[in-house]
Amino acid sequence: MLPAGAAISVDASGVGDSRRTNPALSCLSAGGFAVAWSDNALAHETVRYGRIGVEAGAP
Amino acid sequence: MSLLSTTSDQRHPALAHDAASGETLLAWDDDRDAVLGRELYVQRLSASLAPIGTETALLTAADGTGDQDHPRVVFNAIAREYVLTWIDWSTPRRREVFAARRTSSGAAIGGKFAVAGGMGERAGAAIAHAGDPATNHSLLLWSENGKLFRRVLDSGYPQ
Repeated sequence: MLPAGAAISVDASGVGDSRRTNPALSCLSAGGFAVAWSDNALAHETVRYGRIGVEAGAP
Repeated sequence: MSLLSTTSDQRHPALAHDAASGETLLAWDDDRDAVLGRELYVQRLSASLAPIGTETALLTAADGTGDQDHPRVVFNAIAREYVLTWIDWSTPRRREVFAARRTSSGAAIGGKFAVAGGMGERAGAAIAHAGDPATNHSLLLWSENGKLFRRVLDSGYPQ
């Protein structure tokens, strides 16, 4: 069973109070996960993406 | 975290990973084309999630001018191809489930094909690959008029 851990922010670098929705995940063979979401930090809604690590302290 | 380039609205991303190549395919719906409406776009990403090539439209005008949205994508590691599915508004007053196949390098394998067509309000399509080389089946699930339906795809095509 996986440890529950605590909820942490995936991306704290957004502008202002942007609204992030529609998250998507895919497990990466090199480790960690690719993550993507919709973000309205700009005047229009954009897709942002990146990697989430599973090692201790990973962003 | 990277930001894709356009000034249009982009929503509903989906991801699938090819473990053999280390690549990931990112798909989303995009309002950049005023004529075609909301279209699906894809971007190949390297193992380090750097873009490979440019963002490309999944479909062409020949596939219809109606909106397509809420893409989902899975990588079939046996056939080594991506299968994408989405809600398609090409036929007035219908929301249909369509799918399309792409090679591991993003090239088209045929055009789009209907998984669930005809009258009906469909939403929330999901897809997963069973990973069994004996059958090479993917399972597609969607909501239709408030009920859940499923269909098996054999090597990317409906059985």
